[in-house]
Amino acid sequence: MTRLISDEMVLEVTDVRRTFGGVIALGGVSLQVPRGSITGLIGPNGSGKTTLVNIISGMLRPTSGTVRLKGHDISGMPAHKIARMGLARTFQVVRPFANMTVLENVAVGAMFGGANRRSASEAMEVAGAVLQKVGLGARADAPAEELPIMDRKRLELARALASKPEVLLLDEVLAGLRAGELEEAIALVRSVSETGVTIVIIEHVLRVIVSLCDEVVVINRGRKIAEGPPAAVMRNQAVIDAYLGHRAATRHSGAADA
Amino acid sequence: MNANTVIFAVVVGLGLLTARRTPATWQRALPLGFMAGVLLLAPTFSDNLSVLTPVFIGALLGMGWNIIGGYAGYGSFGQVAFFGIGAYAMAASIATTENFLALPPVAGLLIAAVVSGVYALLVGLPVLRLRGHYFAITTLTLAIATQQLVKNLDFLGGTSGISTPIIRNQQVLFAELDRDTYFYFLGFILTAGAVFATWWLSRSKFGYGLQAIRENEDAAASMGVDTTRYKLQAFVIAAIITGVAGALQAYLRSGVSPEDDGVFQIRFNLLPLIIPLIGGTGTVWGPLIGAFAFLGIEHVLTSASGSSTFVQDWERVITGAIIVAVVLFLPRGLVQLVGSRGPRGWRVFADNIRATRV
Repeated sequence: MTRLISDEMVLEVTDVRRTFGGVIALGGVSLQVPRGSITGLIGPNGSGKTTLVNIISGMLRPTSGTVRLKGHDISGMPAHKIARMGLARTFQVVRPFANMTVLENVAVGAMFGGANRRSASEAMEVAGAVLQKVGLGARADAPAEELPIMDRKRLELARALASKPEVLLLDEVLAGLRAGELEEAIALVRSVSETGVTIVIIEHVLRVIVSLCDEVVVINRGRKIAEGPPAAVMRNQAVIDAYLGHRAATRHSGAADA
Repeated sequence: MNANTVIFAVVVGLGLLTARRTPATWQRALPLGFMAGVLLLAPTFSDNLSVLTPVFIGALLGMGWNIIGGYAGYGSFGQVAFFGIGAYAMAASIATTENFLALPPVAGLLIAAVVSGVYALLVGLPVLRLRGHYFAITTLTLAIATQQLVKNLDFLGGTSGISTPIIRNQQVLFAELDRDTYFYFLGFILTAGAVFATWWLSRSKFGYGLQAIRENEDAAASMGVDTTRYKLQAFVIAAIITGVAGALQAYLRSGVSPEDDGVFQIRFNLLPLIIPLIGGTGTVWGPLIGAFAFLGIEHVLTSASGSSTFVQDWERVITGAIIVAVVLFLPRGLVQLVGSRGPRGWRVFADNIRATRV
């Protein structure tokens, strides 16, 4: 199955600034995400990636600037309304609903998120199907607190997928996976993308970015320093200086060209 | 050992069997049926039915708190505010003295429910913006402030409160019930209603939304839960159940007093917390089990203190020790005895000591 990337910008961030007291977390970042694409968001720790995701998903208000989802201005809108417009996210620090079962965790996503909200019993069915897809079907009735960390990451993804989002923000959901698991996870993200979901992914593992993304946006100290196809971005001198270092740049731009 | 002690023990036991985590519905329906049977027949073999009515009031208090504290995770330390408001609304509705409404008790119960709910709606809007300790402290001050407010309202009787008619025998449908039986069944029906409401909630979208808020409010919001609205609804439902408990108290005791031994007494602020804690917070059956367990222990100690000066002297200490033991060894309440959820026993005790070691 091939992915269709349309010209429609499903997510548009325009000159978003965010300050915390005197600290400038984001100093005017813009990005445009075409429907159906996979866009990588990379940058050093503390560069403002998660702040940007928090603003897009409504957890934080921008100090200034606008965020548009499917053409609608959602800047400063409460998180639950944005979720109901078809945007889902994962959290960098995975904290499942510990005292609920794995199935219930995912069912909450199906019940409340997305455009087609479901009754509790319908949501359980949807959740069951999503758990199969991410490979957690066997653990459906286990309390979420009993899951090992890797399964918690799968659960985090399943919760977001259960709402059938149009736009999915993945905040380091693949961090810490071992090599074999990483391949599996990349395939999973790609299969989600093939169903038409637009994905914005924050990741430090460059192999993931290079093999998955159509576009990469690099931010450093709250500002965008580069954007473009992965291979080109990996060769960008500003990106190498700020984030990659020369060895990593050589390795990954080579891989992307091949 | 008297008949009431047996009733307390049997209800706790059957309650735990009903609360089991088992896929077969009949395995839970059977003990539930027996429990309902025991409670319905209790008037025929109880040695003193008036001991059991306050247990229903305690169960209602526990179930009210359980909605906001157990399901939504907003542990309120001020439920007595709604208990007192409900009691006052009932007393003002049914009192026959001048300036009061002299309405039938059913109308009084409805008015108590509405007034408690509206009061929760008004105070909930600002209070529910706070989280964790800040929410707890603010609800505690709410309890104190509400008592002082009521005490200073002259149309509610000021410092002397409101007296309502003493209820003796009552004609209900075709039966003539004595006072104790009448209040017992009134408590039973209201408690059954609250259990049913909690059961419905636990399976509903609303209930899952509340649990998601309890577990992680930010994640719940990002998954589409309208956290502000849900918290407010839960706070209002909790206040309604608590207010109805207060209404029953006012009706039973023939009136209300705003003093520290009246409807705002600290006992009615602690029972809503202790009862779910002992039975199991955030569960359907926990508060009911907790009410019969905790008030059953109190009943046994009170009975024993007549013949033993030791129990008489140490009653409060023993009660306190039991609460501490449950919190230490069964942090999720007695229902942990029948479910596998969560660590319990010496393991959780040892973990707690390790975790808090300085």
